[in-house]
Formats: sequence, C-alpha cells, structure tokens
Amino acid sequence: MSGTATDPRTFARRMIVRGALLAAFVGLAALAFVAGKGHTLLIDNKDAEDGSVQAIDGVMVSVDRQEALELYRGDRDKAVVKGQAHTISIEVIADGTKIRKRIRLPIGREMLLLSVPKLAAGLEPSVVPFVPAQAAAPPEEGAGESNAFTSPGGTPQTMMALPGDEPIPDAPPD
Amino acid sequence: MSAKRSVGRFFMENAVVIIFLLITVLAIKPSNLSLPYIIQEMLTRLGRNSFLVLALLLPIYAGMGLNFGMTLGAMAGQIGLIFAINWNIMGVPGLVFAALIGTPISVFMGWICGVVLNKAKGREMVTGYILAYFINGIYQFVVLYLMGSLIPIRSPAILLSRGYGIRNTLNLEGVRQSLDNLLMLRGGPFSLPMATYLVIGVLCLFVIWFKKTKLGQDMRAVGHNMAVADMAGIPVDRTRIIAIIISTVLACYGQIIFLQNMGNVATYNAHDQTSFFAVAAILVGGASVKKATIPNVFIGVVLLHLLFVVSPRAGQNLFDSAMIGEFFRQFIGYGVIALSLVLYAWRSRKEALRAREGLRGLAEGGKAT
Repeated sequence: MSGTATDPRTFARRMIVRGALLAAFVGLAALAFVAGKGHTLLIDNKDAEDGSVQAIDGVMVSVDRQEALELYRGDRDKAVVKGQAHTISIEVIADGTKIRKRIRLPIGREMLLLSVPKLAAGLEPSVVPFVPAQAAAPPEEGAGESNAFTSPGGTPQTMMALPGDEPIPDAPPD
Repeated sequence: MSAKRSVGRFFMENAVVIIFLLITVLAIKPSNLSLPYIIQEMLTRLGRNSFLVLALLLPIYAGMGLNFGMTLGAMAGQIGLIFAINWNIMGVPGLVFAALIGTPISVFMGWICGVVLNKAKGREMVTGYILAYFINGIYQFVVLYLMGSLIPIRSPAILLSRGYGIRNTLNLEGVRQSLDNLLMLRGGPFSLPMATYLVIGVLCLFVIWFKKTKLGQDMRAVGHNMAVADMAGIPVDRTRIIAIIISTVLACYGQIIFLQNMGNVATYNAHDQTSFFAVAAILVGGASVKKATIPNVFIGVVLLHLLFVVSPRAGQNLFDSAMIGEFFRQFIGYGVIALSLVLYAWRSRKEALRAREGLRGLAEGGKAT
C-alpha cells in the first residue's frame, strides 16, 4: 500500500524539476519571440512634414549587413529586419559623408517608417509606426469560382438553368 | 548447397532493397540527368527528410511497427509554423518558436495515439493510419474554423478573406531554409546544409544513447515480448505510450525541418503523406516492421529519393510523358510498402513453421531416446 504512495520529498523534487522545465520552456519561447520578431522597415528619404529637415539628394542606406539601398529625394524603399536593435549606415553620395546610427524598434509594431534625413540630422523621433491606408489581403486561390466550402457565404458556382429545371407546380387538389 | 541457401536467404532478407536499387539504377541512364545534379539533390533531400524517417525508429524498437500516427506530429509542427508566421517570427528563432508551440501539442497527440494503440495491440499500424485520418478531421476543423475566430490570428496574409480560417497555401518566406543556410558549406557544384546535418546527427546520437538507457532497454524488451516484459515488471503500456510520444514529437520537429526547406506549406494536406513517404523510405532502406537501424534510414532516404528524382525524367524521355514517371513514383511508393509487409508476413510464417518443426523434431528425438 505504502509502495504506491509518493514520498513527500520526491514529490517536491519532482514538482521543482517540472516547474524548472516549464520556466525554461516559457523563457525559450519568449527569447525566440524577441530575437526572431520580424519588422518591415520603410526607409524614407522625404522632407519632414513639420519642415524641420530636408530630404537628401542621393544617399546610400544599409540596414545591418544588408545590401545598400540607393535613395534620391522623395524615394522610399523597404528592408525586412529581424530583432529589435539595428545599425543603419548612411552615406551621402555627393560628399561621401558616412553616418552610423543604432536604432531600436518597438516589439509590438510590424511596420515602421524610418526617416533618413531625421536620423542623419540626429532628430527624434526618426522611427515612427506606419499604418497602411488600407491593407488589402491577397486574393485567395480559386476565389470567385467556388469557395463556398472554405468560405461559407462565399461566391457559389453559377449554374445555368436548364429546360425542365423549373419547379413543378403542386398538383391541384382532387 | 549451403552457399546457395545463404545467397537465397540474403536475397530474401534484402529483397526490397535489391529490387529498388535495380529499378533505380536502370532509370538513371534514360533520365539523362547529370551526376552532380543527382548528388546535389540527394544531399538536399537527406537534410530535408532524414529527421522525419528517424522519428519512426523508437516505435519499431517498442514492437509497435511503423508509426503511421506520426502524421499527428506533423500536424502539430504545422500549427507551430502557423503561429510563427502569424507573429512574424523569422529565421532560426521562428523555427525554434514553431517547435516550442508544436511540442505540447505533439505530446498530447502522442499520448492520445499511444492510449489508442494500447487498446489495439497487434494492429498498431492500421489503427495509427486510421487515427491519423480522424485527427486530420479535428485539425481541419481547428485550422479552418477556430483559427481567426476562437484562436486569435491577426495576420491578413494567412487568414481567409472571410476573417477566419487559414489559407490553403502559406508562404514561409520568413523561415525559408533558415536552418539550411545557417551553416551552408559550398564546394564546387555542391552545397551542404551542415546545420541541418548537425541536427540530424544529434538525433542519431540521441537514438543510440536512448537505446542504452533503462527506458530504451525496457522498450526493446517490450518489443521483443510483451508478456515476458510484463512479467519482468516493466510497465508495458506506459513504455509503449512513451515510445509513441517521442516519435510524435520528433515527427513534429521533422515536419518543421521539412517545411523550412520547402519554403511553403499546403495547410490542409502537407501532412497527408508524411507518414507514407517516411515509412516507404525506411522500408526501402531494408528495415522491417520489427527491425530497423539508423543506416536503414539513410539508405532508404537516398534510394527512395533517387527514384523520385530520376523517374519523372526517365518517364519523359522513354515515353514522352513525365506523368508516366509520376505514376511510377506513386506505384513504387505503395508497392514497396505492400511488398515489404507481404515479405514480412511470409517470413514470419516461415520462421514460425521452422520453429514448430524444430520443436516437433526435438519431441520426436526425445521420444526416441
């Protein structure tokens, strides 16, 4: 009888091990989330809306070790980055001035707008969240043909009425 | 006479491998594919598929046959990847995150599978196969109806336009070949995904180590004879459940490795044929329902995929139709499984007959003395 009961010390040790495993699991998941979180960085070379800085005419911008992007006045390009801390290298084409800055991206934002003129001038905030005017979802496979199964209320297949398809009128009562 | 018998025995024991090798070698020439291309394909496919096939080993050690229930683990891996894409977690951390999400799901699935298989001792393979169909229905319900409605999914890129349910095909751009490219060794025309090979190597070491542990020994004892193991005090049912849980978790990781290499996932049917191709590969490698080794896995993956690479081109060149090669591929895949199972049944019956004759001879000998 007592052979099946667990010793309190064994039980406590088992609970500690399980708790440690759970903590390691959650910690690892959080680490993977923070280290791997992807962001789309829109790199903007335009005049600031408040008129504080002017766009640079001809600049090479590289994010971390990615290929440099060539931007002229009014240009916008994008870079996909992983993690929160990044190094932005700016090289003005006209005079060869090189600027290196480190930026930190907020973890909860997927798409951010980086103003190159503001970053080069040391003005804050140079990175602001970007909200697209209307996020259009890509079309589904086979959309418009017959997606009634995967999308209840979706477009049913159009069927042509054939002669003889008309409903049969109820038979007159005798 | 004895040499003839031993040759015959060798052929019978390795019939599947020999037949397969013969067909594949014959198909190489008409395929007109260059040797470097074939070698590179094999190197890539070894990295892509070996982990999944290795997941089959432990249930075979535990005497549960070929684990067709590994599909459950594959589904768990896909759910993990859906969450990784939803939260836009990229690169190797994305794969780790998917594995972490998939682990508890696959443990639970493996437990269900193990409990069910314990109720169907002796019919594990067909039960696992049908169980996979049943769980597939639940998976479809969760992914098609609960994700986006009950389970929060916010990425419009993966949601159906109606607002809930996941799209048919997901682009794994964020994690595409992230493990393969982590440590890519390039030499001449060849690229070796060393990080993937390293993960597979670690799994091989784990299997070797695990076989030497108490639990591993228990598994082999259970696989050898359940009644004897039970009398020796080994918890048979528990050991079998653990074998299936480990196999399901490994299948989850294997599916993640497979899909990161492919770069996209067919949400509703990527897992359908996972167990089928893994089982075909291990059988082609010379394993049987009762016996499998690590070399069987690698030989099988190379041979099966060699045929997969050369047969469509051989069909195209010989019959002017690539579809012939595709049919051939399907036919060979199912044929190998059927042939292997028939040979196994035939061999088991023959061994039982021989053992019975031996006992009869012993009894007659005993009477004579």
